[in-house]
Order: sequence, then structure tokens, then C-alpha cells
Amino acid sequence: MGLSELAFNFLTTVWGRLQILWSEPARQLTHWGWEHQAYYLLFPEISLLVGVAVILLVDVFLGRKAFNIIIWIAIVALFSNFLMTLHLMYMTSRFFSYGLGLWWGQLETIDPYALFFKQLMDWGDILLLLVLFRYPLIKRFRSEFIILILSATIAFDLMVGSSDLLAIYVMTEFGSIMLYLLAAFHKDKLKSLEGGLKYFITGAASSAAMLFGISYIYGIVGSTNIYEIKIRMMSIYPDHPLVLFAMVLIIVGVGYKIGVAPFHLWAPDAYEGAPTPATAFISVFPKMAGFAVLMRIYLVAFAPVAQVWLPLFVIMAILTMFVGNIMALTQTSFKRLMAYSGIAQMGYVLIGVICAGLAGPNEAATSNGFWAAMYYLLIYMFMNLGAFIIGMMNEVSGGSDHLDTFNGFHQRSPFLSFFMTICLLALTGIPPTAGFIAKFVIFVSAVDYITRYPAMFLLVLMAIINTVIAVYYYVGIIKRIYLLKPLRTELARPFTPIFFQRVAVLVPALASLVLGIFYIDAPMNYVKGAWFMTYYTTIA
Amino acid sequence: MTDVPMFYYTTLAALLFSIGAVGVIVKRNPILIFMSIELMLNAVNLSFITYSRYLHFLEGQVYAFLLITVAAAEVAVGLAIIVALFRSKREVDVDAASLMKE
Repeated sequence: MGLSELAFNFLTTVWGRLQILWSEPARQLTHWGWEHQAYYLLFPEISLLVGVAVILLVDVFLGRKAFNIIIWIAIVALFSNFLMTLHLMYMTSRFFSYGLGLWWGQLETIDPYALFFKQLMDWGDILLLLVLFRYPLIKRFRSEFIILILSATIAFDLMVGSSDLLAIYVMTEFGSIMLYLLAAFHKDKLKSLEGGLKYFITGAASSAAMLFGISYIYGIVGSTNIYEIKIRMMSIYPDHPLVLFAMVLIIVGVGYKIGVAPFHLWAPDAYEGAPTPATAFISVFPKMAGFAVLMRIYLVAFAPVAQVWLPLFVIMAILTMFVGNIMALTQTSFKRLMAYSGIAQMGYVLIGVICAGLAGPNEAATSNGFWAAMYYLLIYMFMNLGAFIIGMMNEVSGGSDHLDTFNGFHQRSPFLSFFMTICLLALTGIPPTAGFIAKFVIFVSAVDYITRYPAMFLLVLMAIINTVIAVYYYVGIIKRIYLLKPLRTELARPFTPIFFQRVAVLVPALASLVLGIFYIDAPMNYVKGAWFMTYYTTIA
Repeated sequence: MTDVPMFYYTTLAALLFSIGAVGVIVKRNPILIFMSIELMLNAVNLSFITYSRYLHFLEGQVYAFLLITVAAAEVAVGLAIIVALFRSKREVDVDAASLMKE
């Protein structure tokens, strides 16, 4: 028997085994039994955990030279996470609702809503890691940086699926602790430490506030499970001051994670101090996970008492948009500007959440506002990550994150300048880009309620005014790129990104262009259909 | 045991929480701020245990243990950040950490 034949036999056998494992999981799982089934559903997170362990070992044995290998291991872990998530998405689709529901003592939910966010985080993480192949600004502890990013991703993966307030708290804390470390990563730079300290103190205090709110909810309804709370909330007296008090406290905790207006003060400092890849991570992933949790808490558990929290959300949305946009106008640092722009963007997502809340407890999961908020988060991830990745490369070639380094950026790299323009136009919301569609679906879902709730007119008006304000600072960067001259002559020297960096720029920038030309509602049908189902099976 | 009304415990928890929250805002030393945060977390624990006692669900007491563990992990990271700050600056004060302003 020849070597090639042997190899062929081996590969076909392995492929056959894999097919059994992947194409007939239901049969396999009945064979394995109940406990294994639950582990099977955790494979996305387990693959990341194995990745972290392998990176630790490789770091010990191969040393600092092996940084590229470490990134490849992280990408493989994320990709297997992606494949498992894709597999679970197929299994939990509305035609084949296998594995859908509450698991592990009802702490975690496997449903399309959670899987949607898990997938987004995989894509974003892989894009961010591709840039790090050649990123000279983090010299020491590079492998620890990757480990922190992967651990934070595990935390956010579990956070978006949490269906118990305590699980939400523990996972939020897990993710936040990783983020504090990422923010304070340059431990010999005072700015980084200062940003980390501010992030930590406000974060710890707001988590304590959230916990106090959770303890009140536990006292009022006697359970911390989201779906239990929903059932019991239907029969309580909603005007009791303690209900309002508990909800305000929980908004403090969750609102801090997503950086909405009264709780945004940590954002600019933590963003400016952190190394730029960490800033890119902080600016996208905790916000997505935080919004996933926010929507699960407020659109499921507290949906029956929506009249209590809706006014707070309306005030928060208006405040968030104005504070973010007006503070962004005068910034001179790219990272600070993106911090305020990120705050402002979250205001628009809040409008979607408000519309879903107005739709009522049973219709929230199928309402337009719910979908609009999720779609906005999807687009926000692409456009913000794209802008940040190009900002990272500008920082590498230009020497600092000051906005002046963008002057004449097109002489340095026409490629990056072009895609930066696309990302910034998408963040502004100019028509051919995805940012426009994202804002459009938000406004449309809000306009539906204008006749019934006149306050929504004010909200939409404020949002439109803010879109106009935002044009100033986003287009200001485009003006610097194309119209102004470079500050120094060496800033006009051409800069060529490596292949992986080009990929990491192309994917988010093209996504934020193409999703604007073709409106894709397949994920919408998927998420709508099956979240709905989880929700009813639980009630029954 | 049940002679003490629940109101007493919840009021104590709320008071402890308020003292902690005020401490976070007022204190200038990060170590003292951490102590205030711990006070807030312990108020939460007290509140959980009270409700657990009066609702006759044991879950709340388990939550208290969970929270103690999480709080310990959190403070470990916070103290590491403070130590690093002290090493480079030779003083610990939140007013000293004001490089970045508007």
C-alpha cells in the first residue's frame, strides 16, 4: 500500500468520523446522555478556553519569538468557536429547535439571539488579531494581550447568553476585569494606569449598584431568573417605588458597561490611555455584549413594567446623543473623538430598545425596534472597528493618535485613506453606506409610534439633529485626510500595510459599504423566529 | 428570630450602601475608595441574605458567597493597578492621576 493511499484512507476515515459527529449530533447526543449534551452546547466557549491554555504553554516553551504562532492559535480558537456557533445556529433555527432553551441550572440560554452576538464577536476578534501580526506599539507582554482579549471574549460569549441576573453579573465582572487590565496595559505609562484606575473605580462602584438593584428584584419577585421575573412581574404593582429604584440601579450597572450618557465619564480617559488595539476592543465588544444583556433584561424580565423604565431610557437616549456629539466636536485626539462618537452612537441604539419596549411584553422580540437595535449593533461593529483599525495604522506610521497626524494621510496611504473615508461616512450615516440603513431602520421603527406617543416625535427630532452635528467631526477627519498638507515631510512618506492588515481593513470597510447597498434581513428572520420560540416554551 | 422586622435589615443595608457610595465619591485615596466599594458589596450581601431569610429561599445565601468571591477577584486587579501607579508616581491619590482632562 502506497503512502498516498494510506494517507487517503486515513483522511477519509477521519472525515467520516467528523461527519458522524457534526451531521448527526442529535443521535450522538442521545447516545452520550444528558450531561454530555450540555457540554456540547458549551463547545464555543470551551474552544476559546483551550486556545488560551495552549497560548500559555506556547508562550512558556517557545518564548517571545513565537508571537505569530500565538496569534495563529488565537485565530484557530476563534475560528473553531465560529464553526461551533454556526453549527448551533443551524441546530437552533426555527425548523430544528434542538438545544434551544435554558441550560445549566437555567443560568445560560442557547438561543439565536445569543448566537448572533457570539458570531459577531468572533468576526470582530479575528479582524483585530490580524492587525496585531505587525503592530510595534505593544512590545512587551504581547502574548498576555492576546490572552486577555480571548478571555474577555469568553466572558462576553457567556454574557450574551445569560438568562439569570446573577450569571449576568458574574460574566459582566469577568469581562470587565479583563477590560480593566487591557486599559491599564502599559504599566509603565502613567496615562494608561490612570485610565485603568478610573475605569476600575467607576466600574466596580457601578457593578455594586447593579447588584443592589438585583438584590431588590430578588426581594420583590423572589427569583433572579429572567423568565421567572417576567412571569412574576406581570402580577406586581408596578408603581411601587422599590421597582423604580431597582431598575434605576440596574441601569447604572449596565449603562456603565455600554457607556451611555450619565455613566460615560470613564470612556474618554480609558480610551485615550489604553493601547489602541485595546481601545478598539473596548469600544466595540463590551458595548455589544452590554446591549445584548440590556435588551434581555429590559425586554424580557422588565417588559411587563415598561412604563416605569421607558421615560428613563428616553432621557438617557437624548442625553447620550447630545453629550457624545457635542463633546466630540472639540477633541484633538483620535481615540478621545472615537470615545465620544461611540457614546453618541449608543444613543441611537437606545432608541431601538425604547421602540421595542413600547411594543409591549409579548411583541418586543418580534418588533421592528428590537431588530433595528440589533442591526445597528452589527453595522456599528463593522464601521467602528474599521475606523479603529485604520486609526491604529495611522498611529503606527504617524507617531501619535493626534488628529493632526491625519493631515495629508492620502499621501501616505491612498488605500487606507479611501477605506477610512467609507468607515467615517458610514459612522455619519451618509446614504450609500450601511450606517445610513442602520439609522434609517431605527428612525422608521420610532416613527411608527409617533401617533400614539407624541414624545417619540421629540426623540426622532433630537436624533436627526444629532446626525447633523456628527457630520462636522467625522467629515473633519476626511477633510484632514484629503485637503490638508502633512505637518512634517516625513509624514508624507508612503506606508504600506502588510497583507493581513489589508484584509483587516477591507472586510469591515466593505461590509459597511455593501450592507448599505443590499439590505439583508436573513439574520432578522432567524433571530426573530427563534427568540420568540424560546420565550414561549419557557412560559409554558 | 423573626422578631426583628425585615425593615430593620433592609434599612441597614440601604444605609451601608449609601455610606459606601458617598465614600466612593468623597474619598481621594484609592485604597479608601476600595474600602467603600467593599462596603457597598457587603450591603448587597446583607440585602440578599435578608430576603433569602424572609422569603424562605436558600438561593440568596448562595449568592452572598458567590459575590464575596467575585469581589475578591475584582479587588486583586484593582490593587495591582494601584501598586503599578504607586511605583511610577510614588504617591497614591486620585487627584494626582489627572493627566487627561478636557
